[in-house]
Order: sequence, then structure tokens, then C-alpha cells
Amino acid sequence: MLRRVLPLLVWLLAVPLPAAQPGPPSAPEIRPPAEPVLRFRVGDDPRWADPAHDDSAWQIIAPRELPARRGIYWVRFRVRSQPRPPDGLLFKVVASYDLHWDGRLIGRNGRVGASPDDESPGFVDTLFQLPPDLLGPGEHTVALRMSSWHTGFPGPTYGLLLARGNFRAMLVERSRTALLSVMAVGAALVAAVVFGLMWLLAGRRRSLLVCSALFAVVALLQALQAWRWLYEYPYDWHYPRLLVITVLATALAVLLPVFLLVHFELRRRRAWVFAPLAGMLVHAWFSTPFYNGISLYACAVGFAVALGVATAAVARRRRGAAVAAAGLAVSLVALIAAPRDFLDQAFFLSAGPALLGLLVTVVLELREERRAARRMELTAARLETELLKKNIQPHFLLNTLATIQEVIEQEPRTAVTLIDALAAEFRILSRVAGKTLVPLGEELDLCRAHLRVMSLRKGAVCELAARGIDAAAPIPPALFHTLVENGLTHLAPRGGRIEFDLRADRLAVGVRYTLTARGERQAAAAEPREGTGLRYVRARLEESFTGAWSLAGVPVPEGWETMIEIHSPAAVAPLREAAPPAWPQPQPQPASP
Amino acid sequence: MRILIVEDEPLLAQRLERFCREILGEKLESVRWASLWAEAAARLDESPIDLLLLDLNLHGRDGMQLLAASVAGSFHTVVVSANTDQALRAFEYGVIDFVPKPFSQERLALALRRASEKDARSAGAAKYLAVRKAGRVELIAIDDIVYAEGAGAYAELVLADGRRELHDKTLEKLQALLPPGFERIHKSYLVRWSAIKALYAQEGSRYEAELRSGLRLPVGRSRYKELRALLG
Repeated sequence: MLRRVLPLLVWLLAVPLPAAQPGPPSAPEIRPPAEPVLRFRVGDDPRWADPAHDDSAWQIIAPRELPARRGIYWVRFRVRSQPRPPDGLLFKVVASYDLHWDGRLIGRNGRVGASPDDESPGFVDTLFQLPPDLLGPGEHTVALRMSSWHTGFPGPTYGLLLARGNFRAMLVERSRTALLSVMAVGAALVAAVVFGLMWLLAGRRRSLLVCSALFAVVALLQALQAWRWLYEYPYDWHYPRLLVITVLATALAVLLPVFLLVHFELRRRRAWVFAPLAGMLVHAWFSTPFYNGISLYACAVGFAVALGVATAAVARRRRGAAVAAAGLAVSLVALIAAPRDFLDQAFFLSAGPALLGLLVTVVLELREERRAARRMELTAARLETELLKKNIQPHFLLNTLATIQEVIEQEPRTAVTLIDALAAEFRILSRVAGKTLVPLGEELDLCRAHLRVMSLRKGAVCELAARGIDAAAPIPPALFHTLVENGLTHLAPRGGRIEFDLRADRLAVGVRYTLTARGERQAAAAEPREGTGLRYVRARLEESFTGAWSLAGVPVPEGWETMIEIHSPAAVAPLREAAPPAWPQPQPQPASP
Repeated sequence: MRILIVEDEPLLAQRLERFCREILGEKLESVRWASLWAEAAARLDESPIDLLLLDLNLHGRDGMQLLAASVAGSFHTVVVSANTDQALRAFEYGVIDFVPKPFSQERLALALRRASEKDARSAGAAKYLAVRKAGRVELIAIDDIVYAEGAGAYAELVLADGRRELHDKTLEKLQALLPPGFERIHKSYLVRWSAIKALYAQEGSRYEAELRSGLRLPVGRSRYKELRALLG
């Protein structure tokens, strides 16, 4: 019971990988107490069907050693019936044959032929029901007249496998096997599609793509396995199918370590992984002509190499690496301990821990990403609030209003200019506030609007000149605006001017911005402490160019110099802006009547 | 009246100056303007003032230190600032008024009245008095002050623990800053009302107030009747 339920549970977790084989019947069946002794003879004689025929001189072969032969040949063996003899006889053999039971022809599988053209391939799995009158107690003779022109199989031998049992029970068993396979295909396919969509829609993480491919391979393998149970096929399809399955098993052996390399970001170690992996897989393909042997070998290699990668990841303290390594270790032990069961339908018991471990690893990583994204969102929201607070703070606005009061009384036309400049600054602010990055050109517009306001307030010429800048380069909103504000706070006009000079220099990767503020440094402000302004600048840089930026400020003879280096190609990639500025650049306008 | 304006925006300095002239008229002796408190403070000894109109960013430690240095002076301080959220702090430090920007002439006139009229009181509740001590400014909690004694252009603050601190302001200016619980019992004494135990009339029309500490301070003749009535 456990053996039936556990695999089902694991299947539901989407971990099937059947290695195809011509070998033992997958479903548990009622087997005869001992495998019969097969006798083999090349040639064709209808009398050989007779139970009384003396076949003692025939060649004795094991059931798995049926020699691949050209022409017609016969196989005879004897079975002993129990008191209540089973009436079902299931043959798994890659050949066309006529089945004789105690000398009577009770079934044909395909058409046996003396030449490839004469032969018509039968099915691989064929279930026969024995007539009740032939089921007496005692020994029975089974004689098979066979031909196998169309196998196309490179190996020197192949198997003839026989299972006896209750005909109805065997029919039911076959349908159950298909059911499990179909469920496995579905589960693996869902995993493949989910990971594929996640890759497509959630940031193109390459490990997700590899994971999707991995489960797609598992689904294909399982579909090919299910094909045998769902749709009977002529035996000449059997070896092409096995070949594809072996290729898929090999692909799986490659994808497992690749996934771990990508997922745990150990790509620099890939040469250490791919060289032995490729070597062993090539060896697997030339070690045996039997595809199931190659599949098994390939799987073992894949698991072992993947385990090595996972262990390296554990040593580097990667998240979830221990789970992946544990799963792979369990599967590898299962594979080595019971290689035959590994390729049986107990596969999902054996390979399950490994695939389950990978799933857990991916989910852990995604959970961490979600958390990080949430943190980012909160940071972004906080920064937006900070930007707005910084600029809609009463201090700036009220001081400006106080200036406007005075200007209205002294020269109303200047008041209009001042109000225009203030409005322009707030229009740009409201446009950039919700964004993480804005084009540098727009940021400079914001700075200049602010400087127009401050020029009028300070009664000094406050200007910003830019050199070598790319107006489309991305920059966090209000970054230079904040630095300009700081400069205006800490510098007094020199010769009636406070000047800002922004220079951009391309780095090998990224860009360096140097903002020089020219004015009279105020004694108290010689060493400005890290104020809210600089904190805002740092937070914004970290948000957009995590870990790839630096900020430094130094006093210079002419005032203050701030240097921002962004070591990221993203800093020089033009920002694609969906909408052009919604408002014309405000200029001093004549007062409306 | 001698006024110093500390304001880094020339237009606003012009506005303050214009208003001062219009409000005070001939009572205005002089008005000066500096864009920074530091440069103005250096010249205060040579040319003393009666009133400081101060625009100060009160955020951070620097701002509060500057404010303390300013209110420790002999003159009254009126803060003219957009940082209205700092008004309470400013009053605690002992400014006579806080004029929020933007401001009208009427509002500035009110501040000037508070700073110059005899019985005027601070618009807020001071909690500390700043005193200059050996080149730095120390804050004294008003709750610790028992009485203040006038000494010409200065006043001496007597604290509950017996310490005496010299303050640059006159008794009149201190009276405007101290909370209503302080009574002027004599032209030279400003006493915490709750510290007075009893009033005595001595021979020769001399009057005295006995404090809880046992100390006796003179009471002005004109003040005695009023105080008697207040004491009940």
C-alpha cells in the first residue's frame, strides 16, 4: 500500500522522471514463481508449435538475452498453472509474433514475415486472454513464431518479458499506470509553465528559465513514458522513443547542475562543473548500447555533479543550498542503492527528494525576493514622501511667500516673475515626484526653476551651468536639486553671484558627476553635517544603483564640490520617457490684466 | 530704539526695515542689517542694540545654540521665521515674540510693542533664561529662580540652591520674559510670588518681604498695599 501511495504523493508534487526501458513491466503484476527457461531456434516450422515437439536441442537463452535476428525464429517455453490459473498473458517484446498455447494459435501481434516487406510490426505490449478450456492444471507449452526486422536497435540482444495474471486485473493495472503518468505530465507541465511565466513577467531571472526548462524536460520524459500506456504503438517506434528519452535524461543531467550554478550565482565555477559533466556524459553514451543503461548513468552523473555544486553553494552560505544538497544526496543514494528501481516507476520516490529540494530552494529565493521588493516599495514610497515634504515644507514656501509679499509692494512685475518661477518648480516637482529615475535634462530644469526663485529671494544671480551631460541620462529625481539647495544654504553670494557648475565624465563603466558650487563659504557651514538632504541623496542613489555608487563632498577654494560616481551601465543608458513634458517651459511672462 | 535685523534675504530685510521705520517713526534710533548672526554678534559690544529681529533656521543643535547666545544678550529677541514648528522652543528659550513668515506690518508692530512697552509680556512661556558664563551660554531653568535683583544694566538671578547668576538683561526686560508668577516687589527686586512667606511693615515706613528661606527683601512703598491685598 505504502509503495502505491507514496509515489502518488510525490507525483502530486511534480517530480516524475521515468526512464524508459524495454525491461520489466512497470506495474506490479502477478508474476510466475520463476522465470521460464526460453528455448530459441532460427527457422520456421508450424510443427514447432506442438507441445509434444522435442526442443531439447534448442538454444537456451535468458529472457533478456533474446538475440536480435533477421528472419523468422521461434521461442518456446513452459509454464506451470496454479490450482486457479490466471487467464491473462502480457508480452512485452519488440517483435511481431504468433502466440501458440499448447499447440493452438490464440493470438497474433502484427504479421510475422520472412523479409522486412513481409513483416508488419506488432505492438510492444500485448495482453492476451487465454480461453478457459486451455487453463487446466499442469504444465503448458508456449510457442512463439517471431520476426523482428524493424527494431532498428543497436544492441546485440533485447528482452522478452512475460507476465501472467488475471486478465481483467491486468487491464485495470494498465489504465492506472497511464493515469499516474498523465498526472505527472500535468504537474511537471504546470511547474514548467509557472516558472516560465515567472521568468517572462518577473524580471527575467535566468535561474527561473532554467528551472522551467528542467521541468519541461521532466514533463516530456513523463509524456513519452505515458505514451506507451495510453497509445499502443508498433514496435518499430520503440527504439526511437527510447532514444529521445535517453536524450532527455541527458538534458536533465545537464540542466540540474546548470540550474544550481545559475541559481546560486556560482557561474565563475562553471568550467569546474562542465568539463567533468561533459566527459562523463559522453562516456555514458559510449559505455553501453542499452538506452536504459545510458539513462541511468546520465542521471547518476547529473545528480552527483549537481550535488557537488549544491555543496559548494552550502559552503558559500547560499540561501536554500542545504535543502537542495540534502535532496540531491538522498536521490543519489537511492539511485546507487537500487539502480533498477530508479528507472522503474519508483523513480519519483528516488528522484523526488532532489526535485523537491530544488523547488524549496526556488521558493525560498522567491520569498526573499518578495521581501526585498516589499522593502524597496516601502523605501520608494518613503523617498517620494520625503521629496514632497522637503519641497512643500513650510520653510521654503513661506519664505518665498514672504518675499512675494514684499515684491508685490515694491515691483509687482517682478512678483509675477517670482510666482511663475515658483509655479514652474512645483509643476516639475509634481511630475517627477512619483518616479524613481528621471532624465537629467528634466532634473536640470527643476534645479534652474529653483535657482530662479532663489535668485529673486537672495537678490543674487544664482545659476547652473552644465557641461558634458547627456540630457537623457537617468538620475533620481531632485538629486541635484537637493545638492543645489544645500549649496544655497551654506554659501553666501560672492560678487552678487552663487554659481553651480555640473560636469559629467564618462567612466569605464558608468559616469561621474561633479557639482561645483561657487560662493562665499559661511564659517558655520564649513563642515556641513549629514543633513536630511544628503540622507535623501544617499537613499535615492542606493534605491536605483544599489551598491554601485559613491558620494563625496569637499570644500574647495571657490566653494564646495560634490562628486557622485555611479559605476553602473544603467547610469548612462538613455531613459525612455513615455510622455514629453506636459507643460511648456515657463518663462517670465507679462502680467495678465 | 536700536534694532538689528539678521536676515539673509535682502528683500525681507528691506521689508523688516521699512516696517520698523513706519511703525516706530522717530522712536527708531537706528536700524542695521546683517545677513548672518555670527558677523552681527561680533559688533554688538561696540554698538549695543535694544532689539534683535532674527531669522534663524532653528532646526538642529546649531540653531538652538545661536538662539541661546542671542537671548542671553541685553536686548530682546524677536524671531522672524517660517519655521513655525519651532516657535514653542523659541519661546521656552526666552524670545519676546515669534513672528511667522510671511508677515504683515500689523504683526510686526505687535512684536515691537511687546519688546518695548513697559508692562508688555512675552507672547509665550519662557522655561529657561540663557546666561553668558565664561565665554559660553548656559541655560537656567526658570523654575529654579527664586528672585532677581536688579544691578544697573544687569540683573542677578538667585536660585533655589543659593547660586547667583548674572544676566545681561535689565530687570524690566526680564520681567517681560518671566512668567506671571513673578512679582516686582521693589524697583530692584523681582520675586517668585510663591516664595514669599510674609510681608512686614517696619519702622520708618520700611517694608519687607520674608521668603520661605528666611531671607528678607525690601518692598517698595507703592507696591506694599497691592501686595498686601494679593496676599490676603
